[in-house]
Amino acid sequence: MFSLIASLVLLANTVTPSSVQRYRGAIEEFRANRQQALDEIRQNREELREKLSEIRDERKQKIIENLAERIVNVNNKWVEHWNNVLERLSGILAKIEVRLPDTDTSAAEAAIASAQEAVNTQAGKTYDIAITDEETLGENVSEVLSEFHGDLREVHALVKTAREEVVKALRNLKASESEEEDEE
Amino acid sequence: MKNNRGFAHVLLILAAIAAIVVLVVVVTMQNGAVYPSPAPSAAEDSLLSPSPISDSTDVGTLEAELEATVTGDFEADIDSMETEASSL
Repeated sequence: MFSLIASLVLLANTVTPSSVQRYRGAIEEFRANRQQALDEIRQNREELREKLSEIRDERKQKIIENLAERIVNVNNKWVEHWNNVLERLSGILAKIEVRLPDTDTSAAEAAIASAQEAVNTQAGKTYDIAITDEETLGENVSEVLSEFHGDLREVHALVKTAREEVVKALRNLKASESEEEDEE
Repeated sequence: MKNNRGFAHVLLILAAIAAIVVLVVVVTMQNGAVYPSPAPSAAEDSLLSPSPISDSTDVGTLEAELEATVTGDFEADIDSMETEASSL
């Protein structure tokens, strides 16, 4: 991550420093949100254990505990991955701008910024499974999984859009270069 | 006499199989393997972090790097958790 920022800074004569600073700011926000979520998760874990002790069925206790842990792991895995994807897309877009400074990359920049905001928000999210009684356990877990699923779907859609916009920017670069070649 | 010896052998083999089965069940329960594992599933582990991009602004390199930047599919992770939750 830092190597990319360093390489972008090296390209500073052509890449606007504000875009690099904006990217750094987004990464700092990502880290802060994640740290806050981790603190919350630690606290929730203790509360969940206490509540689970009221459930008599040991098998159900174990499943709930595993699912709570897996939600955290899956969320971490995907926000980390999408953060990497956006880091790469920012780098690729910066290189497109270097190669063709006059090209309009504002749509791609906006899409990356929007996706980064969503990833940062997702990094700070936690999901609590409500433990009331054994009969409603399945229903409560389904609700949490459904909410988590919806959230990931939204973030994924924004990251996909950001990628598509960078693909378009690259296509514009290729079209522009082939036009120049034809003129020559 | 010959038939009795054959029957004894069969009983011995059955007893040995039963002992192995009991041993496997006891060891499995002690390791907690009768419950779903809290460790991430294979799908959760399969995503690889993309390698860092280069400094090259060559169009071919840009295309290859963009091609390697995949957003991934998280649905398998959700399906796996839903399957686990369905046994509640």
